[in-house]
Amino acid sequence: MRDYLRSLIKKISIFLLVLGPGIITAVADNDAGGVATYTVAASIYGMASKFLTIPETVLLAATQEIGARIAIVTKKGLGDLIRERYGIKISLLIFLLYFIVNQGVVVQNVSGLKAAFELFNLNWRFFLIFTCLLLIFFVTFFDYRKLQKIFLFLIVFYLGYIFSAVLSNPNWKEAFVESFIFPKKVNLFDLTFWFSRIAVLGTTITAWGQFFVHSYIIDKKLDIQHLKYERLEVYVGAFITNFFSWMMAIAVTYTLFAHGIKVDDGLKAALAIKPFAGDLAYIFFALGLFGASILGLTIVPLATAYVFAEIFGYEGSLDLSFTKGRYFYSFFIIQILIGLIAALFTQTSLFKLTLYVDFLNGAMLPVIFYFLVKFSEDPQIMGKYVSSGLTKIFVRGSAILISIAVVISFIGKILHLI
Amino acid sequence: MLFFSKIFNKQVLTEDNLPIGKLEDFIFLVSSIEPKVTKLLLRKKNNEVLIIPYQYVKTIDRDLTIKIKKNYQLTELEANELYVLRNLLDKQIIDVAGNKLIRVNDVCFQEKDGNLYLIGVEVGILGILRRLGLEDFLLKIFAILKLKIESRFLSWVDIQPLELSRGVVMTKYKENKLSKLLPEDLADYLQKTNIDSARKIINLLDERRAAQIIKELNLSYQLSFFNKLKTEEAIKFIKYLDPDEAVDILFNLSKRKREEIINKLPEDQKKVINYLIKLSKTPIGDLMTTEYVQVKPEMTVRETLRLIKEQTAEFSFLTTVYVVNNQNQLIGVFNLHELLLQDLETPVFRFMQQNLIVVHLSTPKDLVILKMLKYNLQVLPVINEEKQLMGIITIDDLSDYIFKKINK
Repeated sequence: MRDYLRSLIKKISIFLLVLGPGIITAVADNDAGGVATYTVAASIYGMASKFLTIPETVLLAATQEIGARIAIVTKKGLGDLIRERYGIKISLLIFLLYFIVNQGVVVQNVSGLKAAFELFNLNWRFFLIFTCLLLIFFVTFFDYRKLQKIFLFLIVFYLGYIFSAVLSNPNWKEAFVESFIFPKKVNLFDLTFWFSRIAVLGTTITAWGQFFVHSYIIDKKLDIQHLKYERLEVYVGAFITNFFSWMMAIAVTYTLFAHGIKVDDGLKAALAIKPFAGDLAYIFFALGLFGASILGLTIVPLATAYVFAEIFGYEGSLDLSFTKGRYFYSFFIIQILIGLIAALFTQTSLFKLTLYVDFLNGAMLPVIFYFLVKFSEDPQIMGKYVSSGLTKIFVRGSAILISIAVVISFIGKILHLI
Repeated sequence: MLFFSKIFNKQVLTEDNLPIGKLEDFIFLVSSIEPKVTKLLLRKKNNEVLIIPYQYVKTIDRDLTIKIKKNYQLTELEANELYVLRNLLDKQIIDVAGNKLIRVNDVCFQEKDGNLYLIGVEVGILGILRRLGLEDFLLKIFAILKLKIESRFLSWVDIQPLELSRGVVMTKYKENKLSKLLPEDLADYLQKTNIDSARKIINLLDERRAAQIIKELNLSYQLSFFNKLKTEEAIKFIKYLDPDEAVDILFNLSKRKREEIINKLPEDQKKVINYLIKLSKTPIGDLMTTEYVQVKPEMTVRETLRLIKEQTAEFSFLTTVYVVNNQNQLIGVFNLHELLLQDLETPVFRFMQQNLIVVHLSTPKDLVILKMLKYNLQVLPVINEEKQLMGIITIDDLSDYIFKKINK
């Protein structure tokens, strides 16, 4: 019994040691753009917008697991592997697309942050500039361990959605049935429902999420004996993420959807919740948006900077001093500054941008999964950890499923635009 | 200098212009100094892969078409051989401390005596542009904007070849040595290490190859190198040197050491060398002229042409342009014909000859004439012990001396 306890404690402490990459990446998938997509979908379709959320969680867990496995086994980033295996032309093309997508996501998150400040009636210009500079300072001067603590702390803000959901007085039973068993409130033959459903999938499984989990695990310097625990951590991350987004959907469903109010972004959703669920729910919802935006605003440019360093062969790690990692940090800073300028000086709605960003992100996903499948099945790269048998079928199946989803959502978007 | 990106995927022909396949990879023998390209890997239209030994290469044309002798045979990869594309290109370069520096953007080769040697890797942005096929275009734009964009080069001598099979390119330094290594540093790579480690490296090579390397060292380095060698070792190398080069070195050694070495040489070689040494009382110093044009390696053809127009109106003779680095050391040479064939924006280091035939101030006149006849050159550069360009000597300058000799 004592031995059992001791080994359990040991296991838990190893788990706490590897804790970070999986959870942070997955939760950051619910960034400001994610919040917007979930709330819009939930305000139109209610809890049916979370129909098939269980297979979705499995899919997210599976795709993140491939990245984690390749990262731990090879100790090379996805950017490294693409450059070394496919040469400069393909890696440059991927990087260019990736940079544009991520810059779009950064702009989304800056405007999410702006919305959060507006919800609190703060001078958003001042706080936006201040927060961005603070972020740059932290990322440049703090090392990996300290930053990871900050990232994990930011996840606490997502608890706001849980409180907000509880305060919205939901019908739990109905929510369960609608999202996990069968949605009765929508017509399953309605194509626009499926387009919206896949858009939700698209914000959960992202190009940058795949690159980031990979690079971030390498930066954490995990070893092969941590693989088991890291896998578990990735699964936990996938679960937490969809749990939060489910709560978000509840908060919106039992306020806006129940009263037939349709919104088109996170800011309006928060404002619209207020009369139905009260001030507290409103504050929690806004806090959630604040946390989501900051997490996205840090993780996404970092994801670009990691890949930039990998593809061009520079040092890229949070543990570097500024001089040693100047390319890495500069790339991070430039993206935040572009985002900041875009938010400060443009008056146009960012809704259109979200659409294009999702579009490009979707276009990249099949390509990235092609690489992931190739790398995970290459014994030269993976050695004895190569995907085989059931895993292989599962990984390929997930890749194909996501690609099909992307194509469908493309068709949906084109139809929608016409 | 030949870049891998320029020759990659080019159609390889037989000497009768029949296509064999596209060049997919070079195979090279891993060694510390200038690895030799031993095999070509071609891919045929039907995706079949052929490995052909390099000795069947007949020519590499100006447009980089490789022509293979008709009777070529196939071979296989051997131990101690690596691929350029698979093992070197795009790989991460790290320093000894494991810091990531940059990636290999292109690989550079030099043709010498019918062989192709891997001399280093390009790490600059120009390498990336070249692989995208944008180099010439962007060089033109940069020239219009009057901006300089330089090649950044990592010489093979600064790379630890043993690490290559592990998939990384490791340098011998800690950190930022890279930026200082420009193409002009190429020729005098060994001078950078101390004599003892240079001796170790040279001892690893077979004697003929070692002699070739010694030949390329500058005179003061050659001297300190020979002064460190035991007589027997020195003889080994001298045997493989051309008599005129051997005399250049011997003449500058101490008299005691010189005689010790000469006495132990094989009889026929001893005779030639003794004869040449006797001539050494007539050095060329007084005949040298300073009417020559020198340029920096990164100067473009356009700039060179302008310089020639400005500086040489008064010259009586001009066939060759010399390339010197910032220390005024001679690192390359090209003739006017080679200059005229190039695009206006091409930097000169791209086409200059790095295989230099030079003489010293102390070189006897007869030896200079011999060199001119042997290599069919009308003009030779004169360098000092530090490899710095002092002046030139032309066949015209020697005509009086030749005339007297014939009439004697």
